[in-house]
Amino acid sequence: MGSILIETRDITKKFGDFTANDKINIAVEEGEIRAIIGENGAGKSTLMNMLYGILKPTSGEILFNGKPVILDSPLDAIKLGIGMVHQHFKLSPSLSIYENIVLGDETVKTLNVFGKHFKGFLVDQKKEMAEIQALVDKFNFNLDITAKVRDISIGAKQRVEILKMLYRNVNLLILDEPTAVLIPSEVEDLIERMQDLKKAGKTIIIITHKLNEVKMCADNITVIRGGRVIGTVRNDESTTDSDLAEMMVGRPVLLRVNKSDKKPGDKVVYRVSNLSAKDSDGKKIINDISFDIHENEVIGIAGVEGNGQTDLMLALTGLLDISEGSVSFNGEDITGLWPDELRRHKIGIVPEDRYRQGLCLGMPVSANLIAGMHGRWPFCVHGIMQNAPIKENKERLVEAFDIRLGSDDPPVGSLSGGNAQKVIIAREFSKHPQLLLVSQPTRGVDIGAIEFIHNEILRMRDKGAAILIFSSELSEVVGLSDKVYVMYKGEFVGIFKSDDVSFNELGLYMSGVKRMSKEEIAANG
Amino acid sequence: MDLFLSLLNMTVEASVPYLLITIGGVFVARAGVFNISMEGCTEFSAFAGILFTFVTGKIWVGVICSILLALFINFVFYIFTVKLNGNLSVVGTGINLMAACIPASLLSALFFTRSNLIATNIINPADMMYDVPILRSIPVLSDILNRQTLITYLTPFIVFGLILVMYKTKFGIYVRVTGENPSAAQAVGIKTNRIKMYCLLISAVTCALAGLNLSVEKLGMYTINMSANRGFICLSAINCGRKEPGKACIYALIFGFVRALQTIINNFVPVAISSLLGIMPYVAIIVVLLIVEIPNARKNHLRCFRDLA
Repeated sequence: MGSILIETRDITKKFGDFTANDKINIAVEEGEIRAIIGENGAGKSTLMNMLYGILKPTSGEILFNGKPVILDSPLDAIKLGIGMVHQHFKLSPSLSIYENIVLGDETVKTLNVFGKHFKGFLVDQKKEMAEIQALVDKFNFNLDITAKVRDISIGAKQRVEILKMLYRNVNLLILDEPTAVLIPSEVEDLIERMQDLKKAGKTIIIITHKLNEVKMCADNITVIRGGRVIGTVRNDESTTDSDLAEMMVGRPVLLRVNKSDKKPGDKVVYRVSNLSAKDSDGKKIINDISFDIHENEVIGIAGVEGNGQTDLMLALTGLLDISEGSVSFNGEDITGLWPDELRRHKIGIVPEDRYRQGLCLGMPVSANLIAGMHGRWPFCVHGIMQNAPIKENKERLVEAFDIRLGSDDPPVGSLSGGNAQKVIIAREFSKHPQLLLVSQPTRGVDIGAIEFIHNEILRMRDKGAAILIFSSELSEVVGLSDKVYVMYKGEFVGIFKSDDVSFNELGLYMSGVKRMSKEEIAANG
Repeated sequence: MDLFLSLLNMTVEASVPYLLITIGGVFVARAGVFNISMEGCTEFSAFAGILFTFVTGKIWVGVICSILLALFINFVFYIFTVKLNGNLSVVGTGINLMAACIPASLLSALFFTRSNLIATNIINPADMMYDVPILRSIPVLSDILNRQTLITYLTPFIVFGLILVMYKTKFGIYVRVTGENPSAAQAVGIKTNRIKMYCLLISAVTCALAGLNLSVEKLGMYTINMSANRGFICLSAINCGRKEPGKACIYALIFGFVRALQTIINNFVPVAISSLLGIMPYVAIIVVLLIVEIPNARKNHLRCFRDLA
């Protein structure tokens, strides 16, 4: 291995009283792939943001190529040769791929006036395109560089972000949770690209909490917990997933959810028949969707994001007009009802984006815990809010669902992702719903809370509820549900029993390579 | 026929301030700043143009002072909103309110009048119209386009030039990225605040030209409330055109046409009704928005806001 490329010495970052990074020492060798793993909030991103010049360390120093450096902005980092791809892409949707790659570094046409060359004003698009095409070919990135970024897949957007850094000639590439948004085949592709880059002499730091991927690509693994380095291990046979998980969480964790043996009942609780909905251009965004959910049953819906899962969830929760088909609940037709009417039918809804659709950030936890029931007895009598039952409700649910509050009744916006999600789970699950529509239940939630939420979902199942789960996390959909439907371009293209399906097989259906016929899906549904 | 030609001639004349305010405002809107103070900026420019011409006796001093004042106003807007993170509506409304009272107050303090300042002894409006030899010889076009003011002839060049800047230059790309995803711009070292400032300064110059066109060029005098809500109407033109410079300018032309129509109808109706005709541009906004938006609303199948879904 080569010399040490980047090193931190006792680097510390404090936000007020909170210490996010506490005297962290890491050293990454040139040409290695280093994984940095830890739970949400462990301080991985804070550390990387300091290496990329977004945050300034409170104390300690960063050494690059053996020399101490001060990074005031990402530009300083890029000049040194440090590039970072963020979890949330920093791309401009209305610009094309190559325009995004060269952004900030455009080539301008030169003006030729009487034999003298002057810098012109107009951007030389032809030259830029040729340059980017060469770069795409060199690293085998498989992109149409003139496509608009808003039209390309998430995997492609990530490749654009990586190219943006390569165009700026970085030696060290930091990838922040790169696989969180990818399907299995895209993850494999990304890992291949990373190996290629390694061969080309680049050094890569990858931040993640997905252990199996770390095992697949990293040379060395550093574990961070509570802002401290717990240890760095070589990635070989002697390090197992469960060892790493224990290092991350600090206690043994179950990596698989344990489903009870209870079998789904015969009674159909929820039936969706031939459901379709259109977007504003009149195009069908969900097409002829049919499925049943029995009591004691969890149905999972898998798919690459943007294949209609969001729209299906909106249609089922009364936020999108249904153009064809019907929905029934316990035999009663509930097609096209609005969310409040659905709630009156005792249907629990856990929306996809908890902060925008599920919670009111500025309002206290107690108010969020009665949202949707705020106009009803006992919380509201003759139009006047009743403080005592609201408070009592909050105390009961905070206790039962282990929601950790900093003070008595803080605004929801001050809670961590896991606790905010628990507020929604508590609100929806405590109404004894017979049907739960759940979308992305554990997105951005730490491992401890994921375990808790998964157990709550399975507990509801065993109590007899019918549950529908959407998740981009394959292990979650498969682990929790009895049957998994795969959605592709607004249609169901496959159905699987969760006990006997491989992720690779699911990936083939999710990416549209394979599909079952309508009859096959209906027969197995 | 004559009436129709003079309607078109007046449309050209009346569209100029709308086009200028709109094309500059598009840059500000595209950079992600909601600027309602174009109205105030135009009003101040119209006033300053006449005031300084009147005081110094030189038109070019009036023009330069007017542009400088507009730049200053938008720079203040930039400092308060972008730099100091103040509320856009509060600062914008503040500038508009100042524009509604400072000219009147200065007029009564300096010239003992509350309604207008006439500089026709220095500016002869007839001299401000240019007789273009080529246009003179083309029959119909001559009636529509000839004998317009300098800024009127400059306007198409300004409009097309700025559209070119928006889509074909580095600066234009940066403006669009700044508005669409500021963090994408910042991540590659584009100083988004500075981009916003440049946009505000561009808008200041176009507002100043619009104000100068209204007061100095066309009439040689300033009257209170000269900009007559053109700033607000242009704000709707920008948003109707979805911040696309080309489309926004088409809306600006529609509003210019309505303005011309109103002026012509005024000649044929009693005073009571002609006062009422002042609402025509606003009715036009509502009608145009209805026509544009009803089909969109029909097509919408979402029951919540689009950004929630």
